[in-house]
Amino acid sequence: MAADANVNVEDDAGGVDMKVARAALTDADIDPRAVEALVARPGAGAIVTFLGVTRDNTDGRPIDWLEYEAFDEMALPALQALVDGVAERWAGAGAQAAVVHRTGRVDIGRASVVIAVSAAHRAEAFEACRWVIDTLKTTVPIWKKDVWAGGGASAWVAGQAMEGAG
Amino acid sequence: MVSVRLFAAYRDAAGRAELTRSAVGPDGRPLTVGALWAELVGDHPALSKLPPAAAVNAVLARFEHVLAPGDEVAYLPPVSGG
Repeated sequence: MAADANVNVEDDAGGVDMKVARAALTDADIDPRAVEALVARPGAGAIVTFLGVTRDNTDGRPIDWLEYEAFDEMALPALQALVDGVAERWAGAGAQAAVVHRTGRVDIGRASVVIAVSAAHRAEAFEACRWVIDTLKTTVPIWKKDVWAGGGASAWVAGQAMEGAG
Repeated sequence: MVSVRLFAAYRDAAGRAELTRSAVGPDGRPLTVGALWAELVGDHPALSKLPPAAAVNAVLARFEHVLAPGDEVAYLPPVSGG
């Protein structure tokens, strides 16, 4: 897994800077445990991890896999903005997020995106994790294509207009 | 000149992911993001549907944004990540 910016920065108090973020794109299988490890810290009472996975059909039509394409130079800062957004919006809970998104072929049952959020308590961790995946859907320039079963026909999935990063 | 990036359905419609275009129109004036799209549609009719978003140098830009030589314009179909 290619996780960028996996660096902790000491703040003035000698602790770990909670705003240091983790965001990555990768064309390889994502290990959810490795993403969780990016946000683990002693002050966390909860880590919520979300996996978006390839289902075996789209609106009932069987598919073989999904194909993801990203505008890397724009998608990576947009993912980083989500990580920063968690640290700012849930600062009181000391929340930290990491998000890794796939490109290329993602087979049925495999993760296209893994989001991990740590926070002092579970409510904020759930809430922030939900915010990341909901916001990602409109702020990150990534596209997916259904590759249908039996013959390789495919179609880009109807998406949502892109908005400024949250 | 400006470089153009096309993604997903737009890339398929144009048959290529990147192309280079003049930064000025036939009247010699700088093109906007929207005017350049209209030129592309002329060359690639399959691109008829107006994109919901565009970016200049990897930052979201309005269709009225005036292009400068060396800019990279990306036309962004509706996104479907996650």
